[in-house]
Amino acid sequence: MLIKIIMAIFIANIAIASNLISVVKIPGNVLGIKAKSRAWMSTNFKKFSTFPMVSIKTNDALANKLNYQNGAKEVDIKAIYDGKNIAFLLRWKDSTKSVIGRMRTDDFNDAFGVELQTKTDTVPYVDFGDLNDEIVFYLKNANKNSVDIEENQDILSQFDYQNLNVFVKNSDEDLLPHVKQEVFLYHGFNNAIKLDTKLSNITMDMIYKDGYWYGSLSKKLVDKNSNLSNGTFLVSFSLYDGKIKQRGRLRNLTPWLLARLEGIEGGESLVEEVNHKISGDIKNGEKIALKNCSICHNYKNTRNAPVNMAPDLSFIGGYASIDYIKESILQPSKVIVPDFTDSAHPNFSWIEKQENGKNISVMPSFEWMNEKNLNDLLAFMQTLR
Amino acid sequence: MVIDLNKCIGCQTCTVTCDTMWTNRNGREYMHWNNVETIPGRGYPKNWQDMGGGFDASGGLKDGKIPNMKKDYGIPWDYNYDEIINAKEFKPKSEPIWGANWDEEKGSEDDEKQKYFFNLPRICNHCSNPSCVSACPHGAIFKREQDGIVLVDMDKCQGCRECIAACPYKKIYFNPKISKSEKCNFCFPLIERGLPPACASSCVGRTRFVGFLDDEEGQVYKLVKKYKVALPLRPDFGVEPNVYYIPPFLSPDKLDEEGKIIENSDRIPMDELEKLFGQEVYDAVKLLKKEKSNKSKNQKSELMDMLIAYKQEDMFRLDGDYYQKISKKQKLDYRYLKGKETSVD
Repeated sequence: MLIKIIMAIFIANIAIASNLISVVKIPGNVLGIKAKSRAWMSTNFKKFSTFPMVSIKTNDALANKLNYQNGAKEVDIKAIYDGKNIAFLLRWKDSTKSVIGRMRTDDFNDAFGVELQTKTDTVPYVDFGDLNDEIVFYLKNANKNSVDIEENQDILSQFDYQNLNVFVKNSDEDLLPHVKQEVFLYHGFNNAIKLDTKLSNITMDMIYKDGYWYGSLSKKLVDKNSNLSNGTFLVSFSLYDGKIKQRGRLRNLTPWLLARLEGIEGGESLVEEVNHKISGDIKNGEKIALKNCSICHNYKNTRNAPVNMAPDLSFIGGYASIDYIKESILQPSKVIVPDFTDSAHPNFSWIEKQENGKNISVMPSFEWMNEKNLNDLLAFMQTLR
Repeated sequence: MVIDLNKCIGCQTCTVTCDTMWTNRNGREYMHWNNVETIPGRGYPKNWQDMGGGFDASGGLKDGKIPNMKKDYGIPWDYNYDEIINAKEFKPKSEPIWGANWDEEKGSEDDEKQKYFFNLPRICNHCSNPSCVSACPHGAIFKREQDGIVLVDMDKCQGCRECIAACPYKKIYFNPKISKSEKCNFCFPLIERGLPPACASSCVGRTRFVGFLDDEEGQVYKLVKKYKVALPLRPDFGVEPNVYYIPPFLSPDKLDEEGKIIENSDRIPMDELEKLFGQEVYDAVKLLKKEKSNKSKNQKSELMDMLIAYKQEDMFRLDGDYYQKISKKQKLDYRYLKGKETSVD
């Protein structure tokens, strides 16, 4: 019996380590299904970890204070597909239900997001993408279906129809744009382009039950922004906790996970890249990090650098892949993600503009480092989660 | 824009004009893009001067606070008109906690012989170094090249409110109905036709001058650059605001204990003005007083003639043709109305 339990834990551990979501094929149509649907009975949840995205500090004093001790959080995920459409279901614990329906200026709602790659064969930068490798981000806010400011149940009369064209399109459904799901195309730090939700043909839903949020997304496998018919593709999930004022980039994020459509081959090249792990002398790696990295980067309790000098690495091992960290160390200027606002902290600009108009990173390359030390450093970075 | 505080009587006509024009609907009901507050006072939103934001001495963004709608902005209350017909007590329906001009004309805590106050109209400062633009994590706020008006791109704004925390004047607001930030747009549709913003043209006291700061013939240039009597509000925030104020120098003299006038005494203490307008206020007030005495001796004073505001056409030096010319060369920035980069297809 005990052995069985140990085996079960062992297998579960492997399952977590493998970052793989099996997308179960079911008969019928999954497009438009919601979090309550019975279709979800056909498969089980699998546990994954989400990590606080802290690389850039916000300037909201209260949010900084509330997020100071925020750590990794678990999320359960399952996925189904019907051959043409796919649906994800998320479940995560949140003891404080934050739903904003009335006039509030300083409260934030719970929310969740799903991030997908736009190309099929590359691994984009998780969280923000790049000009050459965009990501598409689906966001659902837990807003009430009413924005009844005058609280007289008569929402439509509270809108000024003459002014509609400025903010919303001309259909009744769009009268309450923010209660609906939103779709963004990210290609860089600050560049979120909002796409027309209607044309994306997605359904997102959120329900709260017994201390857990359930969030669902259903969409077509192939649409204008993403092609998921390739068997295996990348997906990442974001959780927002309104209680600690999480919003925008400030959130808990999974690393790239692999979703595999049962019965379809393809996309194997991604598996290795995402699951790439490194073993090395972590203690030696920590020493190297202290010597080379901690002058500019803060991480965990090592806080020697000025706050905005460089990205905070406290959870880098959680959401970033080892290849991404390695590329950042060896070739920091290989890809310069556009639109980073350097006017926010002009003395700590992360980007240097060259005379030829090309931007380079202010971080020096660490190509001189010998292989063993680099390996140990990466092994240490992997533990920052 | 230059605002002459000596002539502002706090009638709130500008506030009402702005509310009627822009903010009386669709989730903007609580906002006052233009408000007039009394100094000394806690202002609108409550204690905005202590809420953080702006830049520190090293040029980095300072952390700030997002105001609460009820406690800091205040929600207007209604009275029980339908109940008083039944001889009920006349009272507000909800308990009044705070309002846009709660401290109106209360003045300082001195006794009546020393008491002072003045009115301070505030709009978005359309700063040259806007902290809202720097703070926006989605690149949704931009400063127009052709005139420096700071606007929000509605298609990019995701309602994360970093800009509200970053603005030291708290002059950018969150619209909960559409979940986006909104702010004073300097009435740009009027400006583009060569007309002044509604708050300026409706001012009964002719306190507001509008024009381009690099137009050397304009009164705005003369007041700000030539005579240096128009000063920015709280320059220590580091955002280089573009709304300038003529400091109040015409306050009545103080009274001594017997009620007699103390000659040449400043009822509004200079250190209070220094806190608001910086060190330059001493020189500005000195020059203003000198020019005023010159004028009263029937000598010529260009500065006083400007401040008397004989002709509104001189106060508003705007040029509708300017935009017409630009629009022929390049497309005007209409991201406020329709996202330039939003792909709808």
